[in-house]
Amino acid sequence: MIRGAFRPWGDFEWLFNDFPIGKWAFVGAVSTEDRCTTVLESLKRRDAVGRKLIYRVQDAQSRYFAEVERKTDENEARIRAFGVAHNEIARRRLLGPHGILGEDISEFLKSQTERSLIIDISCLPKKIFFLLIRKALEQPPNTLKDVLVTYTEPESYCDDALAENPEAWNPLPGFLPPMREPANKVLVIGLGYEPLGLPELYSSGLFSNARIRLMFPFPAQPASVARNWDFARLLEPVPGNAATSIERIDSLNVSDTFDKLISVTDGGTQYSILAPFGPKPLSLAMCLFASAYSSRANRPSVFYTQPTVYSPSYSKGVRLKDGTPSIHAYCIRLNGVNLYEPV
Amino acid sequence: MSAKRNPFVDLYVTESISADTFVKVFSTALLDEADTLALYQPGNVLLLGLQGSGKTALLNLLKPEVLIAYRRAGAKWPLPDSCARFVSAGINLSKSGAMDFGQRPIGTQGPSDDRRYAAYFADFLNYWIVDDLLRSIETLNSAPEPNVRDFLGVDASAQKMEAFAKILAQKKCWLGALSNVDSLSSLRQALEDRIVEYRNFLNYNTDDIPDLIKRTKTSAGDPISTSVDVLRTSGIISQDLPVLIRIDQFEDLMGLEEGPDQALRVDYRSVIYKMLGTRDSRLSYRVGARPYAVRQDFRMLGTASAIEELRNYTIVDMDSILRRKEHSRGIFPKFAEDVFCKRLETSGYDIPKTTKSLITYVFGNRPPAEERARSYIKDSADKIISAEADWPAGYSEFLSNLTKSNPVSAKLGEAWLRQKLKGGGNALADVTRTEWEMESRKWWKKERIEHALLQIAAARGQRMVWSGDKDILSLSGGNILVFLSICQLIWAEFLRSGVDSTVTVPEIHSPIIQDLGIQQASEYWFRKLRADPNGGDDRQRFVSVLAGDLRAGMREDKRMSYPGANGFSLPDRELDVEPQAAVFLDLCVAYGVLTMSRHTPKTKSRGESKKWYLFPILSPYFQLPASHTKEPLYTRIAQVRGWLEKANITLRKLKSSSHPQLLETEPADKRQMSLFPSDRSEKK
Repeated sequence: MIRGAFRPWGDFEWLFNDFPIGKWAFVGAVSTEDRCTTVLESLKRRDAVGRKLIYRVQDAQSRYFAEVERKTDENEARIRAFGVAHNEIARRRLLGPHGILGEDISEFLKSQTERSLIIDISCLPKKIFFLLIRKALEQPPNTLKDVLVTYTEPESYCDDALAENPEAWNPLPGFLPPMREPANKVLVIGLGYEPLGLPELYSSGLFSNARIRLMFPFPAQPASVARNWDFARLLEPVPGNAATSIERIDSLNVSDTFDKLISVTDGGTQYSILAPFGPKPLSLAMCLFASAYSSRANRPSVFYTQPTVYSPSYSKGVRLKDGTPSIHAYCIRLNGVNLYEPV
Repeated sequence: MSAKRNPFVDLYVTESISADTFVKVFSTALLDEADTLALYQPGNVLLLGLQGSGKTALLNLLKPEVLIAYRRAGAKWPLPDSCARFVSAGINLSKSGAMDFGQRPIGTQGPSDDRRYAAYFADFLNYWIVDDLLRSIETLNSAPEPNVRDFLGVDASAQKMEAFAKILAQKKCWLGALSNVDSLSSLRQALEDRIVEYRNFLNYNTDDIPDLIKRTKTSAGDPISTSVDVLRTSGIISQDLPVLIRIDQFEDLMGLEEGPDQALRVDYRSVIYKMLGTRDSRLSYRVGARPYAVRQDFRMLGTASAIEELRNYTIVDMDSILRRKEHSRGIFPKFAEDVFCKRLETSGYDIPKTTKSLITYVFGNRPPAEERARSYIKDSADKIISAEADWPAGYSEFLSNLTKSNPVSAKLGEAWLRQKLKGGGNALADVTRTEWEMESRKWWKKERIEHALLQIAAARGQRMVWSGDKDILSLSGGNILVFLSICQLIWAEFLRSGVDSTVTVPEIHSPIIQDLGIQQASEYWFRKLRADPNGGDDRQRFVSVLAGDLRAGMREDKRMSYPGANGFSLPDRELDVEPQAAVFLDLCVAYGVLTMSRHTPKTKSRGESKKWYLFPILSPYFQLPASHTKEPLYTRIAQVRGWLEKANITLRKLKSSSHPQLLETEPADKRQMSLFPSDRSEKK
């Protein structure tokens, strides 16, 4: 084994079946997307779900507002049919203060009746799941034994803009930069479909004295590759520094991406700014890396330009593999041991 | 460096570069304007400007590392003697973590939470700035370069600093929080510990703020003033050495203030306003912001009074300094020329000694209108003249013939004819006399040339072409970042054309290459609109609708009655009744989508008015002239509302008429939690 710990990940059914039968606490979100109910449905079928915290996050006012609410209402009715009680749904505003989210998370993790937890990041906003995962990994081993993160692939994404009206470049809750930003730093950008506010910052020179690494998901569907290149071109309209900074990564392989992050930061010794604009599993790897190194003096920071509006057609359906939903699962804590740890 | 490399590949100018590089690339042209020198003299200053206006470059000059770098390089300190000496410290509100105040509840909730949270915010600012001030003194004192300490009159010997620390720690402004401090190192540690405690709490590393902090929150600005006072009485800095405090990213406080609690939203900025409002002669503040951030009320923390321009602060508006006004050129051409030369020099090019303007040397002059028109027409002048069946005999033929020799004149002749036929009938409309070419009509003609070119290009299905020094400068709109991006993309096209590697500055006079680069730059800036915070997508859709309507209007205006209709005007009183639309238009200006200026309408009954145009670099993308000529399109608020509706924009509700610029991002919704969850019942 090259690295110290084996980090189980793969098909949800396969991975989940290796755990003893029992109830799992569950955190997820209800949204406009069809895939938001998939994991919960699977757990319900196995009678494996215990306490639940389901976020229903309301976007800012926009032309989509009514349609987003209508679709989310439909999906809420679906998850209620899986046994989710009214008081298990936390209604929060996307632009509300993150202190409320912190309290939700703290309260939920504190009163563990189940010692195993599933965090379904498929539809959870980053400002929630980054803090949630960090806090879950900080729980004492005897109160929280196993943590699985799940991600359901949609059948397709909308061809138009997925999200709109980004906020300014700000750290995600729980991932502030060090008090004095080290001069020697690396900016790691996860390339995705929506560059949001990043290009403006990029061209403003905010990162001009940082080493830059663009995490490019590859291989991927040709349409996805094209959209990722569009993202890269918006950052660098003419061939320049970024052209030589691309790191191709398998976006589903969180474990390898975690190791890649350790590698590009010289074993975690170099201060890094992580920009999770890529696919969710890539963002998960960034979250795990930033959490693992969060107690270091030059801890990694995570910055994002939070969109305030999401398309009601963000994604459609659930991708099927051999007739079953394509759910990926990542074990991040096993028997009280965090599997994504600093080297 | 290889001359094959694009000298403009890095767009950034002075942000985040090292002090040593700053010395090489800083353009002193910005300092030629007397207004900017106010930044380096005593007195509070609000420094306003868009991204790329040179704001950061000017603020960088305040940093001690930059003075030291100038000394190290043996370069002349660029400030005049009258304002060359100062000590500076500061805080970047975004990077420091100050923006997270108001996100996490602290202790028990109460009715005066707005003031309480603002007090924590002020306390954080005080400690951070005092810590940074001591760091600046240390940096200046320990600089090995000659003529730094003597130049400023700083004497921070160990003995003086130790005495200073003991005196400062006992001052009442700290409310006893530093009572255990007995040395410089313990003072520095106590300052840092306090900041770390705050940051640990804001970063979810701890569950509460320590009681000591809760009991000893300092008053906004007091510890900073006291520290400066003690630095002077201790002989560490001289009595007359200005101390300048920088506060960056001020506009980001809007984010803090967009919470659902109205009162809470205002008091964060009022902390800064209180600092400005105390008019403390011991120090001065420099607040850097985008233009819109200070268009709010200026109420100070804990008082009912407001700060006033000139009495409490001076505004230095970079955009108005740089941008060309109606009767002056502004300093932008000189600034751009200086930056352009420095870029080529640092890229290894041999700069020709005899050129008056390197920009003109490289890009040439703008081609005359006739030449541009011919490039649109190419082989055929068909469809240029849109003749009417009822025109007097021979006029159509005359104008059609004229298109072959002078298409611009022919198109202007068509407009002239249409105006005459509408106004006075056939007798006045003898086109064969080409009256529009007469000296007495030169202004009529000049005002319509760009309009005629738009119609010629449209009639031939061609794209309008931009090239030459004047076009490049005018499309830059007084913004150095835009200028550099145009240069970057033209240069990239030039390199693609297969030139040989050389250190001789090239003459890139091809209008085709330049236009390709300019069109790409325009498209790039259009796409980038989406990326801006506070509604970038909305503004992008709005400008698309607006520009589409303006262009359609100019195409269809065959009489060319409104050659200035690439912009629009609204009376102030109409905006007053639609404050949401006014805020939206303000944000369009603040984020470089539109430019706005006051103007006097041709009819007095419209009253005080403002006019708006597309930010110049967007003109090529929308195929609209960039020049501002004659009267803009006179509109009513209903028309603006129509554009907003067509662009599918949901305007955000304003919180209160007394705070016309503050935005509400969400509707009041009883299902939602309050900013600080005192009412736990809302958590179902």
